[in-house]
Amino acid sequence: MKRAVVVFAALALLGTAACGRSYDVAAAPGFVKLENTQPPYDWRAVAPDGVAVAMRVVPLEERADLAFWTHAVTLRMREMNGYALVDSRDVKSRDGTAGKELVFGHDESGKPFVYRVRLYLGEKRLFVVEAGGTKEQMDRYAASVDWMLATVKLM
Amino acid sequence: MRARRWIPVCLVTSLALAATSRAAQAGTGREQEAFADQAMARMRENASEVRTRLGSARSSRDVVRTLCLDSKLTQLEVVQRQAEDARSTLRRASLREDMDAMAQVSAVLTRLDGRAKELRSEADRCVGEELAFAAARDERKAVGQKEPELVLEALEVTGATSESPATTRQLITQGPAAPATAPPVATPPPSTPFAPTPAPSGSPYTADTAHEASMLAYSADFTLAVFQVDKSLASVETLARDLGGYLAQRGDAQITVRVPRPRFDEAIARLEKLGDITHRNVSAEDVTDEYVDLELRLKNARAMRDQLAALLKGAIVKDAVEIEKELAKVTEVIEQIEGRLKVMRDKVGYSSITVSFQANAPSPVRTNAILPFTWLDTMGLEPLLNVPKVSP
Repeated sequence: MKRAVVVFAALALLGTAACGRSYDVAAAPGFVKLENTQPPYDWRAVAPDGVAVAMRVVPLEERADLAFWTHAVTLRMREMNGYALVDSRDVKSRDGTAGKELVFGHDESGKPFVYRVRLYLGEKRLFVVEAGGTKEQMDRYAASVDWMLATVKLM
Repeated sequence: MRARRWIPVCLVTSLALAATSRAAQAGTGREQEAFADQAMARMRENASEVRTRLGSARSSRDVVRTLCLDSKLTQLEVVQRQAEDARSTLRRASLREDMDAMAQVSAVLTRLDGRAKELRSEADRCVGEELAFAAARDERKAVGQKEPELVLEALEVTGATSESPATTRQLITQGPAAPATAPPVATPPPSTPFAPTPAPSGSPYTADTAHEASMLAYSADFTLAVFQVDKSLASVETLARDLGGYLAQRGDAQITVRVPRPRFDEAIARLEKLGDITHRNVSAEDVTDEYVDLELRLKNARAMRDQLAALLKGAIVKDAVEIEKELAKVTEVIEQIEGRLKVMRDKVGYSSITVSFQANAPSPVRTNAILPFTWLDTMGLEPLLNVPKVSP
């Protein structure tokens, strides 16, 4: 009987893990994680002066590789939204999944903003991590934002 | 009584002689007009032939030959115009039965016909650099002892023809009333087709480019995505100054700089690193033909000015006033041409680069044709930074 309870508990734990979050990310000191995050984001943290970091998991039915999604996001931001592609680099999540980071720039009312996007491709899922704010704030919070992006782990 | 009988006979004889004389005059007039028409047809044919050759030289970018043929054609056209004037005068003289005037005009036409033949012959020799330079040298040599008509041609070629061409024609063809011989005229310095004129701004690039056979004015337009516009504008300006260029125009979201042509490629390469380029257009305009034409007009105008100045020295007061008027007009033309040449040399010596910052406006077609993944619509700063309010 005791053995059955242990097995049941283990299965329950596994089930919880399987049905729960498929990623892990932490908020850096100076940021607060928002509890009632609303779509399209699954997780979001903000700094007092407006810098935001968010994560979303996009379920995919299409069989497309990371290069496809990278190009799709780049085109959308440049061609449709008028953002400037400032940088593009390869990155890795904490669990070693290869990803791509795109850094965009955009002026709003003459003020420069920076928008960073990291894309990781999982099993039938695309993990999208975003960070943004005015360039001045993003420069100021660069270390914290980098730290948060580095804590992303896919499961 | 016997004498009275002879009066009607004398009258009839006189009338018959007068009629015969008029008929003879009319015949001579018709012959002279026919000769004038033939001469004019030959001139048109000559001009047409030279024009064809000039077109061929231009299309083959033979600058030396182009310059030579252009010069001959211009002179031929002037001769043609003079012949047309003479033809009209001949017609009027023929109607008036003014034999003296007809003889004079016929002589002029004969001379013009001969000159046209000479020009055609000279144009035939415009086949190579060596001969063209020889022709140019001959022309320069002739500036000081040109025939009056040629000076008039130069005036007409430069577009400085006076409001009263007859007066000018008279002044130049007959010279000022007082002295019979004009003082020697300073020969302008020899010039090659692309002889460099002093650089307007003292730039080392401007003078060099004036030597080049092919004069290409380069320009480039770039559109960058809107990000850090002020900083990027400043960077473009700094870049231009670093390369020896200068700022031409600067607005809120656009800047135009000029960079020396030899550093144009370097400027483009550095500009491409400044931001996200969404559109680029690099073009080259060939201004060789226009430049050669202007150089030729300037040469003619200067020769004209020198000739007028020489005439002015020995002119009586009445003529001097007319000459000064013409001199002022020619000087104005020279200044205008020099200005245009300066602008053209600057255009070739410095390439224009315009950088604009402009966001792409999404078109309806693109909106509909974009990927069917709705989550892409929510990418961007706006949804990320607009955090919904929550009650505590």
